[in-house]
Amino acid sequence: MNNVWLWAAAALLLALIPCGITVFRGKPGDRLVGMEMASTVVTLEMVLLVEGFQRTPFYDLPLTLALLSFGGGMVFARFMERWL
Amino acid sequence: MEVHHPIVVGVLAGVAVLLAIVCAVGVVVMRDPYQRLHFPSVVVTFSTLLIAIAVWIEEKDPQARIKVTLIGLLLFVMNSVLTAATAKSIRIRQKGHWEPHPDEQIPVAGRKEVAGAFGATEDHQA
Repeated sequence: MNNVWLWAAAALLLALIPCGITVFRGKPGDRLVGMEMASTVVTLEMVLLVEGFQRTPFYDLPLTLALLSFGGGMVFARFMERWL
Repeated sequence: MEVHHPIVVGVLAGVAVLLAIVCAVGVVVMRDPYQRLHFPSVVVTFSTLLIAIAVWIEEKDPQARIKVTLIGLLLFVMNSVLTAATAKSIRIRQKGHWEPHPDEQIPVAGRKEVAGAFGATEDHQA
């Protein structure tokens, strides 16, 4: 694996471990913050993978994920106010 | 002076990844969700910026450059909205209301009254 992008992508996976710990423990507010952090990290992870594998058209995937993670986070935040 | 691209790209991506890992650890070790909320913003701002710069240096394809810029801008703008919405929902969940009440004793900068006292209620009604 002689590609700096793929090494960076592999290293960035480590950032998902603390996010997972936060998501699986604690109160709902803490879990939501962990989920938002994880979605950001995964978006960056996908950018690094796309660049590492030199598949430029696949940039649509992190772009879509960035949009959808915003919608998902807003829905969770809204429902957490009173219903969850 | 010619810049050796792989080294520059490696340094930028490395710093971005290191920052993301440190901030992810910060999310775990902080005391309450309000403190935790600060850390995703650091990743969105600085890690995304560094990775976008690295892609601009490495990639000659304008499609990739435009898309990575768009991803960075989207994350940057949406994260601020999402952070505010999350903080609001956490407060409403904890306190049962969003507006500050006088008994919470939240100080207001430049005023003697606490938030939720006479002036704040007036502002809220306006």
